[in-house]
Order: sequence, then structure tokens, then C-alpha cells
Amino acid sequence: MSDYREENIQNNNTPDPNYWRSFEELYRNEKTLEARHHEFADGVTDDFNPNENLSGISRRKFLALLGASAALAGVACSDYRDKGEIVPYNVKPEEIILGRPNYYASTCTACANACGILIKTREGRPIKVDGNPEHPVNQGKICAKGQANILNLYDPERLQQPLKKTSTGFDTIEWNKADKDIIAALSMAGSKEIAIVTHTITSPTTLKVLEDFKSKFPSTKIYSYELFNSSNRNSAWTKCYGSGSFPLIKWNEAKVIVSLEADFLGVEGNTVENKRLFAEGRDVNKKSFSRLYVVESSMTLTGMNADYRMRLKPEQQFAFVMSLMSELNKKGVISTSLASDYNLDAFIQKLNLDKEKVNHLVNDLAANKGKTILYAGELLPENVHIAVNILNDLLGNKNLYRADSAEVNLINLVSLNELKELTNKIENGQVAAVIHLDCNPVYHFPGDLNYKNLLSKVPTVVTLTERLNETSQYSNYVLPLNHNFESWGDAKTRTGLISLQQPVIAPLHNTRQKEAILLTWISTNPETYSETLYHDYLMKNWETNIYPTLKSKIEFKQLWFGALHDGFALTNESTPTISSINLSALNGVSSNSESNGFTLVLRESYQVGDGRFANNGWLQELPHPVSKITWDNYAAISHNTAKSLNVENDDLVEVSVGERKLTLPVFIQAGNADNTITIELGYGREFSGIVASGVGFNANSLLSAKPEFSNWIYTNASIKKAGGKYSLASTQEHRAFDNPRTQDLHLKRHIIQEGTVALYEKKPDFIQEHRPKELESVYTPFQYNEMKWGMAIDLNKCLGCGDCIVACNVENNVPVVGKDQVLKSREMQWLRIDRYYSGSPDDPRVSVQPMLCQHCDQAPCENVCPVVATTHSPDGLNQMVYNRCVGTRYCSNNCPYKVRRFNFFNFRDHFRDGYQESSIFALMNNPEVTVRSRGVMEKCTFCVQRIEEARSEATRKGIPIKGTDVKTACQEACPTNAIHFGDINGKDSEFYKYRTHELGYYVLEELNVRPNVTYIAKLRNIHTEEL
Amino acid sequence: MNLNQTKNKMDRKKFFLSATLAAAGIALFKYIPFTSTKKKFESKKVEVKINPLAVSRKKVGEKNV
Repeated sequence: MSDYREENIQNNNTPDPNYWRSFEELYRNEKTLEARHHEFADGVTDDFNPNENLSGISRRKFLALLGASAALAGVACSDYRDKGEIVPYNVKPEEIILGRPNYYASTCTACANACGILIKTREGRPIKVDGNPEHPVNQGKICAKGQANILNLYDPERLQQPLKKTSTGFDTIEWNKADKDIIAALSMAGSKEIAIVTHTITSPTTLKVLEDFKSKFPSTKIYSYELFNSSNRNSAWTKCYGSGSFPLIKWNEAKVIVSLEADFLGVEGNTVENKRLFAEGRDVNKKSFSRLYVVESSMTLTGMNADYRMRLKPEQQFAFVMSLMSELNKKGVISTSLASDYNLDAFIQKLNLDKEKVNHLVNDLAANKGKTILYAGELLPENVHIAVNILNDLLGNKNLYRADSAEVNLINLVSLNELKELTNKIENGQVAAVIHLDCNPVYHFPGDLNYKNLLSKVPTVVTLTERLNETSQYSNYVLPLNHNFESWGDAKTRTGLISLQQPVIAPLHNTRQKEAILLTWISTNPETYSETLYHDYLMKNWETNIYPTLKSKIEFKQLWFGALHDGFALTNESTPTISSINLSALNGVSSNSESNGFTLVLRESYQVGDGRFANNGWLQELPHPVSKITWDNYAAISHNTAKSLNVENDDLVEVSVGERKLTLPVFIQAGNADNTITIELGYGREFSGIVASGVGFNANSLLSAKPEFSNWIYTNASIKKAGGKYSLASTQEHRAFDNPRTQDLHLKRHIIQEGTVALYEKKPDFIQEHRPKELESVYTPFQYNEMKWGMAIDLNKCLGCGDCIVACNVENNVPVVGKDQVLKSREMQWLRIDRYYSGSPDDPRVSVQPMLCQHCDQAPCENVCPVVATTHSPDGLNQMVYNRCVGTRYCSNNCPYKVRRFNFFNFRDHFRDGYQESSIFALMNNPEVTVRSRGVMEKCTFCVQRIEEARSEATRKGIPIKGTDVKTACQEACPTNAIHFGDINGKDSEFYKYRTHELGYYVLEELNVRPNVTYIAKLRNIHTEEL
Repeated sequence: MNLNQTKNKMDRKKFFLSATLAAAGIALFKYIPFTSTKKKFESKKVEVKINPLAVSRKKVGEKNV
């Protein structure tokens, strides 16, 4: 890193080993430190000097300006836009009570996990999605993508009519006409193949529709794919155990978890369930803590939460597992000759690993035999998974494979070879039609398959999609699909459970459900279509095929309505048993060849997945949990690699794998392995609407159809400086509230506090030693004798995933502001996750701390507001009165936590040509929360609308409101139950235990503002008392 | 006021011309900018209907058994 590092050396400043948020801060970049003194970034505000602008103005000029202003104001204000009339229902639907929400259980289709959801509607409009509390898998929680999915429903760029390609572009076409054309094309296919390309199928009834389709059109072949998948893990399992797929893990029961290049808390598997189970194993109240070792090449969400973390390039993982096996064998913990060629000491020495950490790992695996789990990431090749399966088996860790439930794969994913066969067939003219079933293969498939260009050789290409995308550009027909919330369906992803999906709103546009479209084609008569076509088919399939297997004692209709009400039905299936392992699976498996140059790791984006959510502004603006970057992807490299390449953040670099090249900006990521480049996919979309198009870089162009190591890891990559800069919008340095003169945050400012399990066991109240003494007040403090709201956040459970941020956005109508505004520190999220590093840049520890309005008893923001727009309620809430606010921003300036957000614009109008001002967008707003306008300050309200709803319900029942009656949006969404909310005076509540917990602390308590958010200090389960 | 000092005064003709132009300008400003810079995302009005076959969590209605 250039100048400031040199400057740092010249000044003889050494990097500060304590808490730091970025390299700029670690090396005390003067610009960064100076910026901390200012509320806003440079250029964000322009000083207005009336003397400069108005001095010397003549009376005549002044009057002329005044007159012109008045005339313009009169004209502008006369543009009253009629918002329509509010009229009562002539015939009120029986389920709607005006002003009261209604809830529908359904199934989320944002990814293949099919979590149970509860959709909140108001007067028929879906306005919020949460997890279905009764659903056995996700148990009331849902990820950020699931939450933000509601924005996709009201996306004004959704396709609203079927389209047919013409010589100049696309023209709208009637459904009947499109159906007729396509049916004719399918009927004429003859022996030529009809290829249906789809993502994985989780619905048994959709699968039946596809089977019916195959019966009608026998030349049909289904190609099911996922850009990221567990195929290596599952094929290794089959080689080891003969059948089945990798089992589900009892993360909550494991004493030691070893994650090898796996991000099971971030993007792999059902992360909602994984996070909950993992957090259950780290319970400060039960004083039980698992120990997480993470060995990975790039810093992931899982790595951030590690007790011990080591950097290792992916191609070394196999040798690492085998060396561990060898060492455990040497120690007599296991008995095997499989790893006789490996030596752990030599491996440590060769790769310069931390010997102490590796020894701890070996000793922990030995001491906790049967209670440990090794878990390899889905990006790793099959040989690593085989080695991991064998080591788990030898250690007796099969105990931690769940016997109550297992994953169900209804359809096998195709391999790259099968896709190659498809493209060969297309090239040879053997394919009559390709149907893209709600997928985007032109964007997802490796470029060397040449799929995009080959599509022109297929006579009929039909894309069924919610919105235009890369694939639709190469299609003859583009048919608009219903959104998840407008569709019927079912899902089976686990044994013992089948979920139901129901439409909570009739289609907003002239769209149809994909299964209904296929059923119409199967019937060969376009007139067959009706809005209930698939509902009837689904119900019939349940009655004839699913209901008998449930062995229910109630009649079908009762079961059907009951299952729709609940969102799922339980079945009596047993989980497949795991046979004994085939140790010979390891025969012939050798170490991976080492990379001489750079290793490229392509990962799934935390925010936009494989690109499916690129059009979703809330997700694009969600800060990356590790880097805090929004609206972009980048090449993450280690600090040493950056030094050797002579690049710094935002420099453009060219990454190459063979002939494939991509230029993108660089981001220096603490904790990444040297000579490793990590890029997240899902960005660089084209033809995909105003939000997604042009955001980030399409790293799918680096994928190959013939990968040597794994589909997502390339060991022969290279990187070079490309020249030029590109601004990445990171929120990392935004709203820093520490004083640069006191670098040692941990000891002096108490901003973030943590300890170790060993220390806690020895001295449970060690945190309290640092607490400042309560200051005497000259005023008599207000007595909160009745209800007083407060929050507690358990940092032992908080993983820093950011699901709570999206939940808050949806609940509180928080607008998307766009990258240009994020660059100016103007993001509007009411809740942010502060992320701190400590230790060295190569081997940092990571700490996270959600930061929101602390609802201080002696709030400094309240005292400075000249118009009393921010006040305190008798139940302890720091309130904002939007109508009073005149936008002085004094409150924000005076807030020590920097949690207030100012509407510099009407962001709904400002972002992407008024994208959020579209009338359809208004349907998404929570009617209980004011939509704020330009010039108004806003901040977390502790979801006051939910408090008032609970209060009104309690009043209606004639009982006092209780702290447990209210759940804030962030609390409801938190997958690990880290957030607790309730009445500070309710001494018999669970919340009160956290409020008065011995590990509890307040941020910046010494300021005596008396915050009402208690943080439970994080404990690291390491072998020493000291961090 | 000295009538000879009329160099800053506007004659009647010029005044009416300016006033007419101003009125026309205001009228144009009122209608033209708001129609020509119409937002790209003015989507058509949609009708919100609940799906009659869906089953809510409300304990009312014949579907809640």
C-alpha cells in the first residue's frame, strides 16, 4: 500500500495491534483519521455563505427574485397529483379487517432450501415476509434474500406481457397466440430433442408436470443445474457410503467444528438452520461453547466467527486433512494406514502454519472423539470430501449426522459434461426447442460452452421468466411468470416434511405460473388455461399421490386446508440409514498439484446469490458481511499479495485464467491467503433492468467447462495491474465514532468488549471491572415505573450476517439510495453491523457489533433539536416527529453512536430515475410507518408501530401490555436469536436476564447518556484466558 | 418624482409584453416540464385482489377447519 504506508514507516509508527476496521486505519492514514473529525465526507455538503451570495444585491433585484420565487412556488405547488380516492369495500372479503394484518403460510422459493414463510398482508397487499414459526426447518426465521423477495413482487420492471422476438426487438403477444405457436413447434419436434433447462426442482408436483410433459413430448430431456451446488460433496458421499447424499449435521451438539474452506454460516446449505444450530452450541446462559476452527483461503462469514482461523490455499486442503489423519493415527486416536505418506509437522513447516493452532486442533479432535465434525466446503474437489468423510468416520463423528431428517434431492443436477452434450446436440441441429424454465443459463453457463451463440441454431427458444435477463435476449418467446407470492406449489427438500406454497395475492400483471404454462402446452389447446389450472392439478396430485402416503386419519379436504393453513404437512418417512464406510474410496486419490501462481476462488455472493437477486436494491445495498462493500464485486487479495503487486484498494487489476480475462477493482482483505484471488459471482448483469444492469463485474466469464481442480477454483490464474481506478462503495469507514487520538478502543472507549470462555469460567463478572461508575445527576431522573422498552444483543450469537438489516428495511419502508449516495456515507439503513479486526492483517480476529439507536435515557440528540422533533416517550423510546423536523441535523451531529440517517433527497425519486416512486412500489409500503420525505431525519424506532399494535390489542383485551408481546423486525429475523427485546422493568422475563447479565455492557457508557441497548460481551473459546 | 428621470422606467407597451410573456412562460412551465420529464417508472395501475383459494391464518371462513 503506497504513500501512507511509506509515511507510516517514516514516522516510525507501528501498526496498532488493537481494534481496527480497515488498512487505512491500521496504518493510520492521515486522510482517514482527518475525515473522522468531520460529520460528512468531503464534497457532501457545500457551505452556504449568505454574505457571499447576497451582498450587493439591489432592492429591485431582490424584489424581482422574490416575485419570481413566489410565482415559481405557486406554479410548482399547484401541481397537485391526485392520489385517488379511498373508498370502502362494496363487498368486504371475509378475511379482511381494515387496518388489521392478515397472515398466510407459504414456502419461499428464493433458493432451493424451500423455507417455510409467513406472509403478512394488509388489505390484500403482501408487505412483509418472516419465517413460519411452526416450520420444523427454519423455525420462524428467514434469510435476507427471503425477506427482500417482497421487493421482487412489486418490481416495476417485472415482465407484464408475453413477448415475441421480432427483427427489431420484442413485441407483445397474446398468451393464446404464443401458446399456439409454441405448441405447434413442440408438436413438430419429432425425434429432435426438446431441452428443458431449469434450476433444481424441489416440488414433487412440478416434477410430475415435467414427467407429464415428457410423456406428451417424448423427446424431452431435462437439464437441471445450479451455479453453486454440493455435487462434489454428494458424489464423495456416494463413493464412501454407497448411496444417499451428505447428511445434515447436528451443529448444536458438536464440541469441535472444523470448517475447511466451507461457509456453512454464509452461503452453503440451509444457512438459516445452520446458523440457528451453530448458535445453540454457543449459549452463554448454559455456559456451553463449541469451538470453531476454520481453515480457509479467503475470509468468510464462517471464518469471521472462528475461535481459531488459519489461512490455507484450497489446493492444500487435501494434504492438510491427510496430515491430520496421519497425526491422529500416530497419537493412537484412530487406526489407519491410509495417510502413511503424510506428515503433519512437515506440512506445517512447508506452509508456515501456526504450529500452536494446529496442535490445539489435533488435541481437540483427540479429546472430543465422536463429538467433533469436519466439514469441507462445496467448492472443494471430491478428493477432499472423501478424505473428510473417512476422517469423520474414523473419529466416530457419525454421531453428529442427523438421524431425524435428511436432504431429499428430487432430481439430479447435470454435470458439465452433460451440458457439453447439450451444446453439441444444438450445434448438430438435433435440438428442436429449448425451454428455459425460470433460469438464466446464458449468464450462468461457462463461456466456453458457447451456449449464447448456439441458441441461434435452435428453431424455438422459449424463456419463462419474471423479468428480462441475458437469456431472454436470445429467445424467440419470453413468457412472464408469476412471483412466488402469486403462485401455487409444494416443496420437498427433507424427509418427513412436505411444504405448501400458496398465492397470497392474485397476479398483479398478465403473468402465469410456469407449471400452468406447461400444462397448457401438454393439453395442446391454449384454451385449456385457467387461473385455477395448476391449483386443481396440485390439489389432485396431493389427493391421489401424496395424501395416501401421509396415512392421515382426516379426510383429504380437511388435510389440504389444514396444510395450507400451517404451510406444511408432516410425513412418516424414515431417514435413510448410513451404512459402513468404504475406505477404498480413497484408493487412487492423490494430493492436488500445487499452484505455482495464483489460485482463483469463485464464490457465491452473500447479497445477490448467483445473480438471481441482482435486481433487488435492498440486497445490493446490504453491506457485505466481511468487506462492507455494497453495489459491487471485486477481486479480494491479501495484504501481502497487494504489496507484491503494488496495488491498493480500488486499483483495477486484470485476472486471467488461460484465455479468459476479467478486469475489475481490487480490495485488500485482511485474513486472505497469499496468492489467492477471491471473486464473488452474481454481478455484472446485462439486459436485466435498471437496478441490476451494469452493477459489478461478470466473473462468470472466468468459469470453464473443463475445470482441472474444481468448477469454482482455478489454480492456474494470474493477476496484473491494469491501470486505472474504480470506486468501491464500502460502508466500513462510515460513521466511525472513535476518537483517532485514542486508538486503543478496547481499553479506553469500551466500544467493543470481549473475553474468553476460560476467563469467564474463572471470573464471570470480568466485564464489569471496566464499567464506569454511574455519575450523579443534578436533575431527578425520570422514573419509569411502568413499561420501559429495551434491547439486549448477545454478541456470542450474533454472526454479523445482516439478515436483520433487510428485515428492518422492509418493516420500516427504508429506501434504496444507490451507490453514488453510499459513497457519500448517505446509506439509510437504520441498523448497521460494525465490524472490527484485531491482531495482524494476516491473522486477524473479527468482532461484530450491531449498532442502532440506543434510545438513551439522557439522549444527546433530544437536547439539541431546536424544534423538539426528537423527544422521549414515557415508555423509554427516543422518538422522531417527522412533521416537526426541519433538517438541521444537529441531532445526528450530537449522537455519539452515529445512528441517525438524514434524507438528503427524496431517495425514492432520486434513485434510478424514480424507480421507487413508481405507483406499484407504494403497495409494498408498511402502512403503519410514515414514508419520510426529503430533509427529514430518521432512525430506529424500536418498531414503535409494533409496540402500538400490541398496546391496542392489550387494551382491547383489557389487560396490561407485556414486554413479550412485542417483537421488533430485527429480532424476528435474527436467525440465531441474538436480539432480545422487552420490558426493562419486567423482572420475570427472559429479556431481563440479558439486561442484567454479568457479561452485559453498554457502548460508550462513560458518556452517561444511559443507553437502553445492552450488549452481551463475546467470548472466544480458545485455550487461554487472555485474547 | 422628476418625470424626466425615466431611464429606469419601463414603458407601458414593454410592460404588457413582458407580462404576457411571463404568463405564457408560467403556463408552459406548468405543463411542459411535468409532461416531458415524466418518470420512467410510472407503471399502470394494478388491481390488488386476494386469491380466493388461499387459506389465511385468520380463524374465520369456511376454509379454516
